[in-house]
Amino acid sequence: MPDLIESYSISRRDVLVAAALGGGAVAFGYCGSALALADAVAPTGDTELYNWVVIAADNSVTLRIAQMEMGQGAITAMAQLLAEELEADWAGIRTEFISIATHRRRNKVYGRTRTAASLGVKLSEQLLRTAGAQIRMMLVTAAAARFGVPAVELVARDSAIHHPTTGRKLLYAELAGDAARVPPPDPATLRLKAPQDWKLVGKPLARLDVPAKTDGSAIYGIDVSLPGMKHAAIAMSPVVGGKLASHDAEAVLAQPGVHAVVPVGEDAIAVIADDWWQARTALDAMPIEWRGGAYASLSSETILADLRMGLQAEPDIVLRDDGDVGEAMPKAANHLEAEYFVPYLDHAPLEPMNATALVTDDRFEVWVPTQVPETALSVAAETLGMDPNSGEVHPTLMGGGFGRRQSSDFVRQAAQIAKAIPGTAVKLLWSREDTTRHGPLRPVALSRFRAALDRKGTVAAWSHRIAAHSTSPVDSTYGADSLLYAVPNMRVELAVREPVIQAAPMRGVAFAMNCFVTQSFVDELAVTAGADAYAFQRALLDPAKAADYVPPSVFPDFDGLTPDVRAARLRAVLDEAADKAGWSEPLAAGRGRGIAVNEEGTSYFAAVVEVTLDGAGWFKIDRVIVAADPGFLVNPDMATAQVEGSVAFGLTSAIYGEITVRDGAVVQSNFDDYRMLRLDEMPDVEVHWVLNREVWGGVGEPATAAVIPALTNAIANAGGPRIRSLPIMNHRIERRVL
Amino acid sequence: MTATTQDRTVVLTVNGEKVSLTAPGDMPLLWVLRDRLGLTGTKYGCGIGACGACTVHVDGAPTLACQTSVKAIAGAHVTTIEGLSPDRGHPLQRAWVAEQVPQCGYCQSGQIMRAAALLARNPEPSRGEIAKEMRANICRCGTYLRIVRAIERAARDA
Ligand code: FES
Ligand code: FES
Repeated sequence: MPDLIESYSISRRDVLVAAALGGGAVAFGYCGSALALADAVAPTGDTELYNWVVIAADNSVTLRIAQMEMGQGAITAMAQLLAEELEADWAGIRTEFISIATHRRRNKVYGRTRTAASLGVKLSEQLLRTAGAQIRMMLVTAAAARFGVPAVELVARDSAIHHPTTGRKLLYAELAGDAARVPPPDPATLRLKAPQDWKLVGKPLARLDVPAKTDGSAIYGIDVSLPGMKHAAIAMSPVVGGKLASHDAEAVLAQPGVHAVVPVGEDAIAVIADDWWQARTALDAMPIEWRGGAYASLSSETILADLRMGLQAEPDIVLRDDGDVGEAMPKAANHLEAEYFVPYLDHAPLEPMNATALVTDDRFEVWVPTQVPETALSVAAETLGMDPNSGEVHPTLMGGGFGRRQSSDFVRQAAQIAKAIPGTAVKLLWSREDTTRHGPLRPVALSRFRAALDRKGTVAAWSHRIAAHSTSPVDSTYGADSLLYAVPNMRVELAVREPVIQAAPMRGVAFAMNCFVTQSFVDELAVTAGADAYAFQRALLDPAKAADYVPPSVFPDFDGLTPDVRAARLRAVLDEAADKAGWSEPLAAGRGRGIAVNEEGTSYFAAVVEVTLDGAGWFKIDRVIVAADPGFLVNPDMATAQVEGSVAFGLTSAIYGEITVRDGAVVQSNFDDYRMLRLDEMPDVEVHWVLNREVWGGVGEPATAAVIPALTNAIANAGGPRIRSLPIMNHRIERRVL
Repeated sequence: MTATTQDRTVVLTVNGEKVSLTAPGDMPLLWVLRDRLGLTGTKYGCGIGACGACTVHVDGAPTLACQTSVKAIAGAHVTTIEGLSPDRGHPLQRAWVAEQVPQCGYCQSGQIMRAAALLARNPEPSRGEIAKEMRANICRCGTYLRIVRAIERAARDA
């Protein structure tokens, strides 16, 4: 293998030597180096079959995983989908992340590696089930030749091909060599199993990554260890858009362990040392001056004032204009107006940002926890001015992603820093403060609603103007213009203001913004109409009257489903949530219930939240009920865990989530001033599945959005204030004086 | 922060093995474990004692390794997640698998170590006692319900 970076041609086992004091650690995930630039060749005795599968001599089956693992269970879900048609013995399954260099060289055979938007399963299931079936047929063909019988007489089961009539069998390991020479069959000639025949898909199998996550042996990006590796800490301009003005490297170069001080681009500077503590300590001791830049006077107040101007100006884009709002509005009996605000949010995955890079004259390698490994590779190549084909990215486990790791800012920095000491690997680790202050953020937005109710209390007209920082629907309008409500006159507009802080999609993306505002406003309309919130919502979701409107660009899209079908599915989960919550049962004074729905692509979610006001300015969440229809489930227990986690994530955003800006800089810095929901605040969560078994959806996001308005609606229902700006912690939760 | 304090030699017992190391006296145990001893199971989440990801046992007590300088614990016995059991056999580790607690898993070493110290002190904690103790540890993935279930299971099975 002439292409290896010589001194780094280490095996995974070497990576673990560092864990000398550990108790029998086993690596999980692909974090070793450096089959770097050779193709991903299976070790001797192992046979690769059609890119996806490696069969070992002991008949274990390694499945290559092309979706990144950030905790959502991608490794296990992808393995279940691939192993299902492969008829692999689940007990002998191993997994490894794909090689990104190999993926590139093989014309992207592994499909979409970007891992986001709850789309992993939806966009992979056909590819993986088909590949599994193709490889099974390659093994069957090889066995047919060996047995001298027609392929139709053979049965694949538990990593072996059986010939039932003669009782003979051959293990996959015995067939792999022959099978590797069989051309993969045309997918059109294969028939995939019907859902009722699945043995792995749809089953609550134990996650493959859990054992290593209970004994400290799971390797995240922050844990990558390479021979001779150095550590880097970084300081970035506190002010958005600011630049490094001056620094005094001499002041710290003599400190123990310090190797180099490296300016990183125009707005950051790093210290490289033997370990991270030394690097961080030296960096903190180094005199650094920054030049403010254009945004030095930016604050949350100026941003809000600018968004408000957006509400007053002419809209830049009319997203939807059904009927004639201008004519219908004045005619109606009753009107309601409300303005809602959602703040900036930081994703705050628990593992701070990091990346490890190794650069030589003509090669580079990056080890990184990322949702976008291919982008990470191109960003590194571009930063280094090198050919992308001379690089490799090793994805690691992520200590959370939530959209933050769709950006490759830290990869760019790691490449720049490692370039300063060629031939030596450098691990760049951001502090928590860096991570809170320098992330691209879930953007702010302001919404103004106006609606008209006719005499019967039905919604005659609905107007929603959003002021946001982006025309990209994922950051601004998802969930606002796709409403299925039976409202004859509906107008949704967007005013785009100049963005100041870089945006990054966060779990639930703009759905989490617009679900809060639309579902709150529907609840306010119900109250105004004197109607029950659930009954009011249900009437609006009438399939027979669903608005015949489909947003021009939606991703995830609706898979061609018509509005009546979508409305029926959304109403079905609404009904299920209300039913399971015992919606019609009365609650004691000071208690309240709220309900909300969220349609994300082909996933349909409804949430009910119950709260009790504590009489002292705050509240307690008694329970959360979620009903969900994502079409199918690969692994019901993992899916339930995703919903439980979504609820915690959404409640954190609802109650505490707020990044503010002062003098051009993010104010919050760490978990003391950017709070997370904690265990003693976690309510019981009940998850109820209603599966249409027709179209695949996702489970990792939609509850994040739905739980927020369900909570604020519950607070209002309990007699508390109507929360029109998040987070709730900025409000005093007292009973309104009636 | 000013320049690092003087290096000094500190002897610790880590997961049953005696370790002698030379490090700046104010260097937090967290970074000694991770970068000098290669024990990366103990995680860095906040560095200010606010998240619990770095929880280890020092002489049996749950301790935030990011807030503990090595010189302050010279001579102490430190147990990290890697040393909790030789074979993932601690009742909590088994319960963590049975309840399928981890998602990203990043917080889980700290969660398990705090829970282990709790059970050592109080083998049958009430739900309220579990909540009070475990609120020190953040799980951004929101695995809290399963953490409670796993602690209760381990208490039952121990
Ligand atoms: S890293 Fe020590 S408490 Fe967060
Ligand atoms: S499992 Fe991800 S932070 Fe707890």
